[in-house]
Parts: sequence; C-alpha cells; structure tokens
Amino acid sequence: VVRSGPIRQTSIVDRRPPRVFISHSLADTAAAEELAKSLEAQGIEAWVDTEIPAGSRWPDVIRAALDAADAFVLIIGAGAQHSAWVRYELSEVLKRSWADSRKVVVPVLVGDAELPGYLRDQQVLRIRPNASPDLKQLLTFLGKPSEIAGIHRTEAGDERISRRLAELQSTAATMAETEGQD
Amino acid sequence: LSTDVPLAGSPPSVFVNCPFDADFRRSMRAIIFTCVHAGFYPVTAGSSGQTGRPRLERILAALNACRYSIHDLSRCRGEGNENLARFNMPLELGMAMAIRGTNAQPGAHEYLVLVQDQQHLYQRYISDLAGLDPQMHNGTPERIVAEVLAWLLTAAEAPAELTPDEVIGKLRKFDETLDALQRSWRDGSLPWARVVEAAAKVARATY
Repeated sequence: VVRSGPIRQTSIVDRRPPRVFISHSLADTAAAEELAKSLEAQGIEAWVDTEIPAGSRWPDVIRAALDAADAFVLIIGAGAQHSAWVRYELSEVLKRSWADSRKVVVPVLVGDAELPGYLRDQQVLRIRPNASPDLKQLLTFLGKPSEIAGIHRTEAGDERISRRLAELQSTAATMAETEGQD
Repeated sequence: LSTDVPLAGSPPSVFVNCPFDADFRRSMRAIIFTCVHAGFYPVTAGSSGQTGRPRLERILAALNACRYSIHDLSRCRGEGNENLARFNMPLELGMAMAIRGTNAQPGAHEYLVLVQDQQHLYQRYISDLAGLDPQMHNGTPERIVAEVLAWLLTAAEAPAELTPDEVIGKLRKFDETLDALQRSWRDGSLPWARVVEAAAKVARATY
C-alpha cells in the first residue's frame, strides 16, 4: 500500500479511519480529552493516555498507540519540557518520523511554552492556556502533506546548528587553553 | 571550583556517565559526538576538574552544573579475575535522580537512562528502574546515536532537527580525527576540551 501525504488521503487508501496520537502533559489533560472527542466525531480515531486500562503496563500501551498512529498532535504546555513522560513521547514521535517521513506532526503550543528544539521549524498551532485547539484549524493542519506538516528542517535551522557548533568549538578551544595554563 | 563545565550562557552542557574503557570506546564516542552535533557540551567524570577535590565531589559539582545527563547502564556483569561489577555508573545515576527529585525548580536536571536490550534484563539487575522505562539500544553506534539524539532534540535548547544519518555519516571522521589527535598528544592525556573541540569541528564541516 502506497500512502502519500495528507491524513485524509490515508483514510481513503487504507479504508480505515486515520489514527491520531495526542501527547500532552498532566496539566493539559482536559484539552487533550476534549480534542479527542472532537476528532472522534469527525471519524478520526484519536488516542489519549487516559484510555489506558487499569493494570496495563503503561510504556507498552503507549508504544503500541504510537506505532499505530498515522499522525501526532503534540500539546505542549508550560510543564511539558519538565515532564519525563512528555519528553519520552516527544522522542518516540521523532524516532517514528525518522522511520517514516509520511507521518504528520502537529505541535499545539499552549501560551508561551517553549517548543522542543526539533519542532522549531514546524508550523505551530497556538492556543491559550485552558483552551482547546480550534478543530477546523487542526483538521487543516492534519490535512497538509507531510512535506509541510512532517518534521523537517529549514535553512534557518541549518544556520542555528552552524552557529551553535561554532560556539561549541570556540568554548572548547578556550577551555582547552585555560586547562593548559593550570 | 573548576568543574570543566561551560559557564551559564554558554552552550548547554550534558554529563555523560558511561564506561570509558576500550571495549566501550565506539559507543562512548557515538554518545559524545551525538551530544556535540546536537548542540550540547558533553562533560564526563574524568573531565570534571583537575583539582585535589575528591572525585565524588567533582562529579556532584559537574552534575549540578549540567542541566542534562545521560547514563548508560549497559555494563551489568562482573569483570576480571575477581568478577567485580562496577558501581560507579548506577551511583552517578542515583546522584542525578536525587538532584532532579530534590530540586524545587521544575526541570532543574533531566536525565536519560540507556540500557542494552537483552530481554529486559535491566529489570533484574536494577529493578528500581521498573516503570521508568529506560531507552534501549543494541550496542551499535547507529542505535545509540538515534536514542541519544531523539532525547536531546526534545530539549528547548536544541537548535534544530537533525537526523541520525547526518550524525552517523560524520562519526567515522570524528573517530579518525580523535585517534590522530590522541597519537599526537605529548603524554597521551588529551585534554577533554580538545575532544569536544574536535567533535564540533567535524560536525561543522557540512554547514
């Protein structure tokens, strides 16, 4: 089966509803659940970790849901950067994107939260704290081809990497000289 | 109090806790080079200060100065004639966990735990990690690079997305550069900062 780009095409080819994995921190649970309900109403299978049955081994269930997803909605609130579980999910999403560049990734940035470094060149959906993403906007994002809505880097990203490496090289050279003087 | 950790405002630093012997050299270099290419300054127990302070104090100072740490607990078996296990790595992981757990500021310290995937053997040799789900690799540089990179790039300080292929593609060059540098160094004790400098230079080559 050859799948290309937008999630709505995926559903036609596969003859099954597209599956969306929703990542969120504890603080954004209500927004994630509301979003899942809205997507389900549109015929899209949405998965949030509140669906994990009692007694299950969390990491196994989450991994299975990540594996089954066609697209990822990443709700990134103020606490996301400091949540080991959110960072685990974010890194697993990145690995799946490396393995299959057709995966669509939609970052939903809550308030003035910081984006993970790998999402800095992505188009981002912004919402206020305690709000849910606008469904129409989200569906538009989900419908974009993965070349646009998948994880990618721009020239600006290359420049940031180049500047950081130059800074690292210079810092290391200075520290080496200081060490030599001890 | 020298810790050989870049000062605040410099590139973010990451403490690397893994075996540093010849058997683990390829894996260690993969971790170090990935950290640098992702935009982070790696620090190790061996590099953390040259003062007369006790080693454990220097390690604690370095861990406190680094916002991130990576702990590879692949070594779990006794070694040598006396079949001794090394306790340094779990000890340093415990220190990182304590720093994170006791600091009132969220995200004061964040750590990644790596183990070799041997049918979840870690659940027997360090069962306290149960439920925390360390990331697994198979000992190859390819898997190690992917795991370390995927974690580091979730940090807000990471400059941009980068792929494991880009890092792996330059790893051999880093190996060769480091080997040559070590051969040319006067008494064999290559300063750690020179290792980081070499890694950054190799990584920069394509930008």
